[in-house]
Amino acid sequence: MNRKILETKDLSFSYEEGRMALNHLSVEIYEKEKIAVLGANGAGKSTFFLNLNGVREPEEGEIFLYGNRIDRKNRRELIKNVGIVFQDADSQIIASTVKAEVAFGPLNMKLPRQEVEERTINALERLDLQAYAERPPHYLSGGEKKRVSIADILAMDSPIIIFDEPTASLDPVNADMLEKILEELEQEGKTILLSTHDVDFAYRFADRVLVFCEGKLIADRKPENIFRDEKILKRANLKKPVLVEVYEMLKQKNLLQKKTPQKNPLQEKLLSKEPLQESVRTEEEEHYPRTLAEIEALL
Amino acid sequence: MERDRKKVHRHGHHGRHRHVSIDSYAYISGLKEWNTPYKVSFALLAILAVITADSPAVSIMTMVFMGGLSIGAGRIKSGDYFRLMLVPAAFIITGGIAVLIQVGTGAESLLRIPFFNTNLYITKESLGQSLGLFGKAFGAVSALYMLALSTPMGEIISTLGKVKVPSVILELMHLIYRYIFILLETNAGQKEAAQSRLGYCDMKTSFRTFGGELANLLILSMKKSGEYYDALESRGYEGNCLFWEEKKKLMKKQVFWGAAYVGAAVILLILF
Amino acid sequence: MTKNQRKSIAALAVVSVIMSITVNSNAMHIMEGYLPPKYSIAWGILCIPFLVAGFLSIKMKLKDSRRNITLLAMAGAFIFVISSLKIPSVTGSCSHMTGTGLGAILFGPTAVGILGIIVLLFQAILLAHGGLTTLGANTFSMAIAGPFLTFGIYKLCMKLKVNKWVSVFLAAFIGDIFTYCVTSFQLAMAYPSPEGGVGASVVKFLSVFAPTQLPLAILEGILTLLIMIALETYAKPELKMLGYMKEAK
Repeated sequence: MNRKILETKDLSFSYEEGRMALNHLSVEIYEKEKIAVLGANGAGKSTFFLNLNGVREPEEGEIFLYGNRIDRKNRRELIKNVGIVFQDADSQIIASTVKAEVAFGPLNMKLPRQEVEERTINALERLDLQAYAERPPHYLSGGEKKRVSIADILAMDSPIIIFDEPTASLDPVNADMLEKILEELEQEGKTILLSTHDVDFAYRFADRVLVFCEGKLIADRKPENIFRDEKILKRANLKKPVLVEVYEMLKQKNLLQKKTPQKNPLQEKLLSKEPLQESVRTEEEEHYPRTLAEIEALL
Repeated sequence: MERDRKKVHRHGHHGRHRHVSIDSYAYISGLKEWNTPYKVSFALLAILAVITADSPAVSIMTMVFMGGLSIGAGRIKSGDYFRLMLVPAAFIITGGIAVLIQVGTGAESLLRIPFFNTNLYITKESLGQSLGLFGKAFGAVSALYMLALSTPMGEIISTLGKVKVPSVILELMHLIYRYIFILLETNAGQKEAAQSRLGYCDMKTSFRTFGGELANLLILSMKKSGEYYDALESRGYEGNCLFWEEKKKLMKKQVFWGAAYVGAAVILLILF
Repeated sequence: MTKNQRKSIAALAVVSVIMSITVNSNAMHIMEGYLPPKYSIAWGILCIPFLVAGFLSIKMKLKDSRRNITLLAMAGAFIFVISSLKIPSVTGSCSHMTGTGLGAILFGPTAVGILGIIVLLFQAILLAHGGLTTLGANTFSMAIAGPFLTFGIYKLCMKLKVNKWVSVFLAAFIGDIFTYCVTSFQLAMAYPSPEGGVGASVVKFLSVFAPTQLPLAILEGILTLLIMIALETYAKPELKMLGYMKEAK
């Protein structure tokens, strides 16, 4: 079983009195999980991320990193271990060249100069930004800026990486590149949390989904369990992924030949891992297909 | 490089950042690899030489030398360079007129026109002084351009750090530089949106739109500043901005150019 | 009026019109190379007490909360941006605001001193407005003298219960005029007339720059007013946030 890496207990936070941005949140996050965080704008996703990263201090509740309780003194541990790629790349980029920008995080971690440079160059290469190293960020396009903001966090090499709505305003080429990077990070054993409004993408990517609604965590399950639960979808104003709709329609019209769907390798991997939470364990029901190929196999 | 320069050219004239086209040259200049503190000292030395020597010969030599350095070694297109030299021309000409033309009785003048109860006139001295001023201003500006057109702002700020400018100021400079471009880009968007809604159809509307745009820009920037701080902190910022500084070696060629300049200035001062 | 006088006036009028149409009118940045070394140094030294005060006020604000650093930087960037945007115009001329008057009203004059010198350095390097050796003189006229007077007039008008909008206009307008006067004086000190000395020279510099600077001062007043009205109408909370910045001197 994977190690528990991050945990919040009864986490609450509010920006102004009387309006809770986060309302008693308890979540356990395990190593190598791929978690999608869904919910409307203002549901508390970004606030949750900032709390996890240590930029915001919880008003109530506790955060544990590798089982150690985080308090004011060791809040920096969160910053080192949890990186955030902000939604708006412009709000994240501050240096006057791409190289200086990517080196900013490692420099703040007080690493030796040589290591800072190695990490920076490595991160630039991974996002295909070497040619831009000496350029100022203000002459880059939106997609290029997004890549810089991802390289920023890769250079810090934190075990947990949070992407705040990474797919917003990306063109198809850059969106593909993002998915490729996510895949690589998964292979490296990183733990990934990302928020998105793109349910198809979330369904494809995640092995666990958190649904936020008005500062509360209203569901924490596997994607197929979330996306067939009309109640939750309605409450959080979420659409069904196209694949789920197609699958359900085919099933309803009795167009599926085989009754028991095959388990895909991904699913097996998931099951071999100890189920994550009570809610997940109780819902070992029907497997929903995660790819088009799986649906095709059922026809 | 050629493609880069074309891109810059585009930025320079039609891009969203046309106000700061000097900035875009700084990142592609052939003089970019020069050791920055040395380059800053060189430019300052030349400016000081021009204003202290107060000699037309030194001014003209500086203009030619720095122009040559920027266009030749820096590979700035000569057309662009001359266009940039015109930027300060308006001030230099207006200020020059004030020095050139004297008011009063005007004895021993080269040219005298009656003006109300007095005279406007030009003397040999005032002509010499204003021409000298012309030369000094263009000479000094050419030295400033040598620096500005080849040095990214981040490096200039780091150089200020070396002369013990307080770190808070350096940090503010880094952030201000970055935010300038964010605000300019936001404003370009605002302007397009306003134009699409006829916000610039006549004078009165234009002024109202312009004021509204700037007010909005201010509100937006104030709101964003909190988020920007979060982003800083999330990457380990602890109240002291550390920035990567590239180490640029001082090469013989660079020293040669500096020595050549000083030599030329000294020779001219002895001759004239 | 003699024939000559009439001719002179006609000539002046023509020159003024041509100047205000064709010349790019920025605030009066003294160009690089324009001041002899001793004046560059003297004006620089004169700025020091104000800059130290500004530095301390900024330090205080940061001690209150580190988060103010991005707010202050935004304020600085905002001043740069409004001074680099082209004011809408019918004549096709290209004029720009100073922006420091608005800055003084919004952020307080002490902080504007520091932000102003940074902005002026950036203007010199990025836009070739002003210069390095003239930075001291320009800082004094544009980031210290003008803003302090603007702020003073604004406060005074508030105290005298003058209409708020009239106060804003007057403060920005007079602050701009004052900057223009100080700059003319700085130039005249460096280049006095043989007849009449500095005094006569001030008049000369004031008159050659009048065609561009007087309309600009009026524009500055109007635009500052329009921006303040817009802010008051839909940004009360943000203004409060800035009001805080002003109080924490």
